[in-house]
Amino acid sequence: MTRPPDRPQDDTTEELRYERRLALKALTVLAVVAVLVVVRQLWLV
Amino acid sequence: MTEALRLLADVGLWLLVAGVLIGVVPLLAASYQFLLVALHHRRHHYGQVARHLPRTAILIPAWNEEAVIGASIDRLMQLEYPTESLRICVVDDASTDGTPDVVRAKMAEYPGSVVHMRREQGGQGKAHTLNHGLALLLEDDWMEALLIMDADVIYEPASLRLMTRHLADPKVGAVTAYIKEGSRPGSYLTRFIGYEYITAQAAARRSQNVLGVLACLAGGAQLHSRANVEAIGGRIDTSSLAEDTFTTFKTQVQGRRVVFEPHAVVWAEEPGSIDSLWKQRLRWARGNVQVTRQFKHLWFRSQPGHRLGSFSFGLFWFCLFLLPVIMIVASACLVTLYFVDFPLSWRTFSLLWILNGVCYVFITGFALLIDPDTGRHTWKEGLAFPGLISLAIILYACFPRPARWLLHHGPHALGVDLTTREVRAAVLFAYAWLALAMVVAWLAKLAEPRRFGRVLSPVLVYVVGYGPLLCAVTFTSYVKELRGAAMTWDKTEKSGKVGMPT
Repeated sequence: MTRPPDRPQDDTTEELRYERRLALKALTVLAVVAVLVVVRQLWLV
Repeated sequence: MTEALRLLADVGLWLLVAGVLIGVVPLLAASYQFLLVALHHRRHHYGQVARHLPRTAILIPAWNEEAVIGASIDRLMQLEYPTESLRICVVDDASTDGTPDVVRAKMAEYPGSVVHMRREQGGQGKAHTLNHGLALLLEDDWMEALLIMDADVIYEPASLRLMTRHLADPKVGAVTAYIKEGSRPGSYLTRFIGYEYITAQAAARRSQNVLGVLACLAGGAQLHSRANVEAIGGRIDTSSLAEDTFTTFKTQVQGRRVVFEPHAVVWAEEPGSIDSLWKQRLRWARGNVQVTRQFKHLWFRSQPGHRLGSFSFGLFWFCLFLLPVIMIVASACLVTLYFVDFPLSWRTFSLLWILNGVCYVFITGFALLIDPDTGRHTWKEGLAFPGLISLAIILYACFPRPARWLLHHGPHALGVDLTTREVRAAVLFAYAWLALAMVVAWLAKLAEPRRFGRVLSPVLVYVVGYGPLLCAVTFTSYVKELRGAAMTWDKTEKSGKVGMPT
C-alpha cells in the first residue's frame, strides 16, 4: 500500500449521501417533465 | 355476416394500434429502471459491508499487450490495498510481441507480487485464457478473492478496497465496478459510449442492485470470492461469447448475490471506430442470445435463492434483447394503419412519439445528473442518442402547431411548395423511421472505411442516433445466431491511450 486510504473501508457515509442526492435529482427531473407536460397541454388547448 | 366482418375489422385495427404502441414499451421500461435508481439510497448492500481485505489474485488475460501491460502493473501496485495481499497474475496467451519480457521485468521490480503464466498455444478466446490462470491459482489456498480485469483498464486507487468490503458478507459471491470510458483524447464515438455507460452501468446496475439481481459483471472488473469461484466449477464458461454474463447468471443461480459498487471506478478504452464497436457489440449481443437460450427455464419464473426470474428483471432484459423486433413491428403496424385508416394512424403515431418524448426527457435529464462529470463532456451525445431525425419527430408530435407552421412556411420561403404527394411520402417516412433508422445506422458502418466515410459516418450517427446503431448490431446478432455463424473472438483494437481525468 503506497498511500493510506483517506477513510476507513467500512465508512459508507459519502456513498449514501451521493445516493440520497440521486433520489433528489430524480424527483427534480420528474417535476421538470411534469411541468413540461402541463405547459404543452395548456399551450395546445 | 356484415356484423362479424365489421367486428373482425375493428379487432384488426386495434391489434395494429397495439402493435404500434409496443414501440413505447422499451422506453417506458427504461424510465421504470431509472425510477428504481432513486430507490438505491434505501435498497443497497452498504448495510452489510465491513473491513475486509482478502488476499486477492488479479487475473489479467493478455495477448500482445506490450504497450500497456507494464503501466497497468505499476498502477495496480499503487492501489490502496496491502501489497502483501495482492498478486498480479498475467496470463500471457502466447503473445508474439514483447509482453513476456515486460512482465518478467515487472516480476523483478515487484518480487512476489507479479506472476507470469504463459500459454504456449493461444488464440482460443478470453475464457480459455482465464481458465489457464484459474487452474493454477486454485492449486494452492493463497487466493481468497479473485479479480478478473483487462490488461489496459485503470483502477482508481480506492476501487479495489471499495469492492472487497462487500465480500465481508458471505452471501455475496461477486462484485463489479463502474466502468467509465477513458479514451484520450477520445472521439465523437467514445463520447456516445461514455454517455451509454451512464445509462447501461451507472443507472441500470444501480436499479439491478435495488431489484437484488445483476445482469452482468463488467468484463474488466469482476471480483469473486474464492468460494464463488469454486461453486461455479472453478472455471469460466467457454461455450459462449458472453462468458462474463454466464458467470454472473451462474453465480446467482448458485444462490450468491452479485453486487454493483458504483463508487468503485475503473477507466477503460472503448472502440474509436464504428467497425471496431460493431465487432465488440456483435460479440456481446450474440452472447446475450446464447445466455437467453441457455437460461430459458429462468425467465419470468420466480425461484427461491435468486431473483433472475423476477418480472422486472425479465422486462428489462427482453426490452433490450427484442428491441429491433419491437421497432420493426411498431413501424410495420404504423405503415399498415396508414393505408387502412389514416386518421387513426396519425393519432397513434402522435401518441407513440409523445410518450417516447416524455420518457426521453426524463431519462436523458436524469442520466446526465447521475454522473455529472461524464455528463459535462457527453451531453451533446446524450441529447443526440436517439438521433436528430427522431428528435425532430418527437418535437413535431409534441408541438404540432408550430412544427406544422414551420413545415409549411419554411419550404415556401425557400421557393418550394410541397405537394400533397410529397407530404404523404414524408409522413410514410416518419412512420417507417423506427425500422429504417437501423438500416441507415448499418449504412454508417458501411460508409466508414470509404473515401468520405470519415466525415459522412459521424454525421450519419448523429442523424440516425447511437441507439439505432446498437439496435442494428442486435439485429445482426439474431441473423448470425440463426445461421450458426462461427464464434470468433475478435479482440477489440486498443491504442493504450486511456487515462483518468486529472
